Amino acid sequence: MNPPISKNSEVIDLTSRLRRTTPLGERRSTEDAGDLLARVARGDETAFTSFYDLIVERVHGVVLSVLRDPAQSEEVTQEVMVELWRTAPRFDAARGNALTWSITIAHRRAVDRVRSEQSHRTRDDREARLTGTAPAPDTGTEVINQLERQRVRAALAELTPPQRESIELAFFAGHSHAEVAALLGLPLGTVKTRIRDGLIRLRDRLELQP
Amino acid sequence: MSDEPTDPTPLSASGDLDAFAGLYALDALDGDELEHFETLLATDSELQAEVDSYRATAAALSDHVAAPPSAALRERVLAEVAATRQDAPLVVSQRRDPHGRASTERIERARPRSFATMLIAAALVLLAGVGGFILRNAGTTDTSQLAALLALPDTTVVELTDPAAATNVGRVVVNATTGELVVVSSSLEAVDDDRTYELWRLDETGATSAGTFRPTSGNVEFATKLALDGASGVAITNEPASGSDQPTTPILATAEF
Repeated sequence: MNPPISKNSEVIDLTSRLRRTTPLGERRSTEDAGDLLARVARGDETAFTSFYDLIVERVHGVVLSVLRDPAQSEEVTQEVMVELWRTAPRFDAARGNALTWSITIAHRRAVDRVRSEQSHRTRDDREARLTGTAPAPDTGTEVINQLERQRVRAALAELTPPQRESIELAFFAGHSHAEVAALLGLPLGTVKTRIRDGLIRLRDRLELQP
Repeated sequence: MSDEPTDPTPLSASGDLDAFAGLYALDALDGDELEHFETLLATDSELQAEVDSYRATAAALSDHVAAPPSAALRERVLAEVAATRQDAPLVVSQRRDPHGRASTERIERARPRSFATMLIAAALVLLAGVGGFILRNAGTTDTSQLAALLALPDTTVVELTDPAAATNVGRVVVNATTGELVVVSSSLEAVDDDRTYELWRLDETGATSAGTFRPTSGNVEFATKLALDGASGVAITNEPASGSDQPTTPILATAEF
């Protein structure tokens, strides 16, 4: 059984408050992704550079998780980061925070790439992709706070194995729910329920502000 | 396969829609299901809030797979950004001109003023599925009729298009058997007090009026019934408040059956 995560306000706030590491000798600064994005929306390229440093590991991580291929992942990550710059003026803070917005776009673009390419792939390639699962995490990031990472890992560990499996295939591997059902040999309704229930459990566990 | 432990109670009473919201938030819907869900989403702010919360959950999961890209990528991105123009912000403000008429003004960089540039990015919500983080008045609408219509097997969803700019401005949900039809749009602008939108049934002989409607809080969900036999589609124009027998202004949007 996993130890409960301490529910102090620092932990709860971590998702939207990303700590940025700076070289030795410089003062550490905590910049809020939302504040940076507000400046980016006004055309501030310096703010975008900081915003890039703050979120690119997550954006790239999600894209790589879905696409698997490093070269393609870099390509799509570049497209996503430029799209974030371009559409920042239309970001509506009332609808969600900067991280959610960024990852939503990243995941969507990665899945778009997979779905459009699947029609061009050979049968063998397609099957190879279908048997894949999410790549192993923990590839030595600089920015992501270890505490945040542990918190998410603990939340994922609290799902039932079927829930976690379905969410991993749908989100981390970018499969459609029909594909997930085919991979697991399950009815669509079962997959749908597992994903919904898993998400609700994660949502409660992570206590996020949308 | 072993039995699963009992799961937490679903949040919404309509558990099925809630499950679809979860799939949608994970980009796991495609095809017809995706289209139907997005049509519902366009006018259901509670459903949108549900999707938003699931998206926040999914975004937090990115911690689990975070991985740094190459240093070269950073240089490429920053170089491309320096050469990329940002989109104009979308702000709708209602102003009254000296004659007391309401006009909708957009704050944006210089652009040709066509219908297309007056779009509130409903296209993001209805098409791209990214979630449309846009400034949009939240309307509360009763989607049960629309949901019921979408559930019928002989219901189709067709694109509502601005013919001048060839851009999407909404959707038309139509049932082949009953002729029930619902126009769904988030991008038809508010009309002046002395004007209205009018829907036209189009066929070989021309246009017949199918009713008038006005947007509510930026949203349109106009339900009517048509004799579908021989109809080629529908069109929307801006008419005087009492309606017209025939279109008197250019067609703003059309949908083909």
